[in-house]
Amino acid sequence: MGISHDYEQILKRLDVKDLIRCKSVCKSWHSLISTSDFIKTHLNHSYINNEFRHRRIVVSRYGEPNKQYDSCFIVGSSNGLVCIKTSIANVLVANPSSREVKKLQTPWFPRWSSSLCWGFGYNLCKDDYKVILGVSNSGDDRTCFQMLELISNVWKDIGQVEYTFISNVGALYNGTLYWFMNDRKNNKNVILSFDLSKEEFKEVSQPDDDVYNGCMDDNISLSLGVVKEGLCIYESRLSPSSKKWVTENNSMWKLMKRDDNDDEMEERDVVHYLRPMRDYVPQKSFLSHIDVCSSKSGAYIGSPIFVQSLVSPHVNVNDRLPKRKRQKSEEDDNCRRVKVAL
Amino acid sequence: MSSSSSSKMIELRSSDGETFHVEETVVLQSETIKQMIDDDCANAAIPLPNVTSMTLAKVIEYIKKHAEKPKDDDDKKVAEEDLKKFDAEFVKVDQESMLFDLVRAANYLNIKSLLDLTCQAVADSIKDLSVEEVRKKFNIQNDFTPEEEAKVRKENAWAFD
Repeated sequence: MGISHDYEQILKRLDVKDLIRCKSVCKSWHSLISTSDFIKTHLNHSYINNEFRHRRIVVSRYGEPNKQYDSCFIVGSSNGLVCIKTSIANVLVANPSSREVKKLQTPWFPRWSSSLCWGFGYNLCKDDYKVILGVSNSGDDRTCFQMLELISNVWKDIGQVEYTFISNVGALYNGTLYWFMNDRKNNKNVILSFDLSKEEFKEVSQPDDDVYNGCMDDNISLSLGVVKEGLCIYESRLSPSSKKWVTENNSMWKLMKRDDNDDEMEERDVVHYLRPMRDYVPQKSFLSHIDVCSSKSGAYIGSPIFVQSLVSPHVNVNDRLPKRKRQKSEEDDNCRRVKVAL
Repeated sequence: MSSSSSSKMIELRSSDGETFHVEETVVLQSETIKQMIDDDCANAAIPLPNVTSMTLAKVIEYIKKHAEKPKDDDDKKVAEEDLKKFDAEFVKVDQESMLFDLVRAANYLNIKSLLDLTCQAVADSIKDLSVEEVRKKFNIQNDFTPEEEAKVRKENAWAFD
């Protein structure tokens, strides 16, 4: 304890770039900054000590001459890691702050006839990250899901649902991914959730007020996003903040109108712009610029939440062995089973 | 200040033997001392072998200021501003070693707000410093061999731009 604890208290307040430079100060700093405990301490501090409400990450579309990378988009972001799809089947996980990148195994699906939906998030249970891919073949009313765990980097089937997706990218809230889906048989929209720890699909209740039902009847296009109050549904075509529904616990949705937000004058979103590229090279800059804008406009409501962290896409198995051994039997019980409960 | 007028006085003794008398309500901001009082170990002077009298005097100045209670809501805003100014001035110390001493004392005495304040001040002061400057500031010996250091620097070369 003692001195190294003092150092930890100081170092956790530094930016990622400063910390990476500080690895060269001496051996004890190098090992301290590299431990998973310190990386978590730093991550927690980044979450708590955010003077802005949210950091978001989006793909930059301005001034980038590489038209051919238009297909580049962000699958999701969690704890500073960003999952990026750069071309038809090229998926990678990068940390733009520490400039590390890991290429993922190419998923298999019939290229010519399928459409895809995605999701990315953290699995607390295994201290690992998961990429979810839903494949819908044309003319089929089902979506088949595959999942990749970062630690194994292998895709496996995890089940299917009798819906086709509307959202291409899942919104991540509290360790669970959410997509808007279409139930063609019953001609209605549903919200499908996937709990990343339990590996469980569920259908989530939707708002039940007149305004929402009106939107549904009129086929108004709705999207899912995350705001400070929780998971939210907003009208994609209108100015996003004019009308939105928010829930903290997946059951009670609250309709919020623009007037409700008047006391949020000071809130800002910090938006990190990712360069659209086919390949991200370690140590090269992944981000083009950072912008600050008012949260009130809601312009980035559907963009993933981002945080600056040291979390590495290269999962270090050895670092976590003692803890995992201890909890192995319990984890196996909780995590191994894959359930599709609908 | 009626609440504090009847407060019991606690005696603290620094590593160099100086004693300080502080009201109990003020000193309770230290979780370490609070624990001692709860355990009934505070009847005699509390020895603080890790804190010098110079540092302890600064710590007491800080906790006294942070123990002041505003009378009403109007006062509260003014008091908050005042406290912010006080904090900003408080970490402007003549000697940098005093700041490190305060970090250690805040850590030992477990005063969270003081630890946050002083650690942030140190962190702010090492932003954008070179590795050599950081070593000098913390009086750290470089224990890498030249080869090891070159390797670590190469792995993280972009952070030196």
